[in-house]
Amino acid sequence: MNFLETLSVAWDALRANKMRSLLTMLGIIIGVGSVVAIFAIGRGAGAAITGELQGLGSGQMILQAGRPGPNSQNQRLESFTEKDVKDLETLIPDIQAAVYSLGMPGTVKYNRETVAAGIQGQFAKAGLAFGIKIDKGRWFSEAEDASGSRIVILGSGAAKTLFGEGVNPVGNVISINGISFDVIGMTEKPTGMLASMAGAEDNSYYVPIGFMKRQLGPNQRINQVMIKAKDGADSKAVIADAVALVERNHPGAQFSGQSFDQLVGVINTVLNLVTGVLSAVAGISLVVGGVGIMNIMLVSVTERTREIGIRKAIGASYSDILTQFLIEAVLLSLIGGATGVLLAAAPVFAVGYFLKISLLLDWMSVSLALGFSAAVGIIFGVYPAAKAARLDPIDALRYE
Amino acid sequence: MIKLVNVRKVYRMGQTEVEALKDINMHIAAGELVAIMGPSGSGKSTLMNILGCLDRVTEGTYELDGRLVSDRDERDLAKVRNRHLGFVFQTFNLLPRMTALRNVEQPLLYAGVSGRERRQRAEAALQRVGLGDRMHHRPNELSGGQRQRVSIARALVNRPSIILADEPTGALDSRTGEEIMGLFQELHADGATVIVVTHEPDVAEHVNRIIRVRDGRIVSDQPVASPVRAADRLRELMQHAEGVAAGESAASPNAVGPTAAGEGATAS
Repeated sequence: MNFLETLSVAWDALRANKMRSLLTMLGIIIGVGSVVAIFAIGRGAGAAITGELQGLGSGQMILQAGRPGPNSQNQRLESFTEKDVKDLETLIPDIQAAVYSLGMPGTVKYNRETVAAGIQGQFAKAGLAFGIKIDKGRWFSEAEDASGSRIVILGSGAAKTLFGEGVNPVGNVISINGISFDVIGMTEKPTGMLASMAGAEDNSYYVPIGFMKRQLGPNQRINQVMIKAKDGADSKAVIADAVALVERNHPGAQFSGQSFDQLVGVINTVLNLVTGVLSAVAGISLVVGGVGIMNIMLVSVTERTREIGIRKAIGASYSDILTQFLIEAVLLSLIGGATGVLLAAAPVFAVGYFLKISLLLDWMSVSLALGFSAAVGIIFGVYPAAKAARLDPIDALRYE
Repeated sequence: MIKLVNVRKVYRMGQTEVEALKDINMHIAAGELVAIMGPSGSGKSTLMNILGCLDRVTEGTYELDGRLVSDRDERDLAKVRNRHLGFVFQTFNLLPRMTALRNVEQPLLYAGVSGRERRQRAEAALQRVGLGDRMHHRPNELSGGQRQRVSIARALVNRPSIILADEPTGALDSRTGEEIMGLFQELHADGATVIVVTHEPDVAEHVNRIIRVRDGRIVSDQPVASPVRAADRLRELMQHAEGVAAGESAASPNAVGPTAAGEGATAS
């Protein structure tokens, strides 16, 4: 029998029981809709997070003492030296900058405001290499660092605490641990989905590390070294080279490194896992929907026993009847799937709008969803269709 | 055309075996108009199912159009039903949601006849049975006689070798039944082979040959010397009906007034 004709017969049969067909589709609609929505939101969020993190910290890596793993207790831990940091910069061509920071607790005063805060001593080159974005004023120079000038750059959050929202703090003088500092800059407020979700603000007080070293005295422990690789460098290779170099400087001690990109990879893996698990849960309703289709198709076969008998008498073969009912089941599940995709599109775009991320409702996931619904229709339609096709025409014609 | 040789049909019903057909030998030539008669339980329905390739013989052979069909598989039998046989049922067995035209098109669909030709042939078949003006009606919009005409058109449309009619007038009043038998006689006159299965002697009077079946055997196989012509029978029925109607219309004024009653009484 002609495919289009079979399709139109199936369509007529579904239309003859509109309410029943609609209710049967509901399971598939909900199943496909939720899988598509979860998938799109999960993948969209993943892409957004990855993009943002890469924008923030591409090519950045951290070296630290010790190696993670089962035998980490037995390792000899040593802190980094100034020489290590200098060697990293000079001996490994792919490294653009290697820095460390020193921190101390501080009491910050401005007018009557007193705040306890973490004070960070930073290298001048850290500002550029690690992309600390300045909103007002400027970052400090190498010369200011070397001379240990008493200047401070306020994090956006710190500036808000001391001066209030929207006030330019540059040019004011604040006191840190009783020493006066000129405020020469303020960092940009973090933007993007991650920051807006976490409500994160930069609460740091950045001072030149030259000043910090004088304050804290020599031989401070350097626990972490931050590395910025040159553009296009392979972060894995850079880490391997860096660890080898540092371990050569400290015979017998272990070091390890982690790149930002690896971190992004870990976050992505976790996100994919969560999306996968959620989709699987939603996928269960697809199976339930499939069972609904099977149920209603079995009812339909029983109701139309006589029709099957007539069709066989006028020349329908086993495969004609099988195809007819199979197409009916697939049509049910496909229409349900398409409706599910359409219904999923609304929440997907709404979430995308509010979180300001572009969500991925692409052709691949749409066709995957439709393919999956068709598969559900075939899997759960085969049994009722075969039952119909196997009917004995004589019995079927006698059926009341 | 049809050749049954030593046909036996046994049904299993649980533990017991029922021998529905015992030793049937039958030959029907092309262009015959035959009735198969018998009381219920005689095996005539089983015989009909076997002739219609809806069932298979247990023993013996069935040859249709010179081809042995008793050893065909399901797919081939479906094809034979589609191309070589046309069924007419007592209860019409039309598909209720489809128009007359679509119903008649169905066998052509399974035969793989495409669009325009299918429509033309279905229309021609409906015109042939006198339903040219009812093609787009659904079965529930048609009278019993019209429905049976649709089912005859459906049986005809694929130009089968044989039309098998199972109690075709069983669900119709006698006048409509007569019209349907008249249609079979016309088809026969045009050269079609028609087999009518019935238990009504009135119906069987219209054919040229009667095969009687009882207890799974053929008990007689005789030609009919002068078959009743449905057209004649219809004319009689019409005249009778007019007579009754005339009597009624003459009688009805009786109740209205005494003068009319007197006239009515003289008239009758």
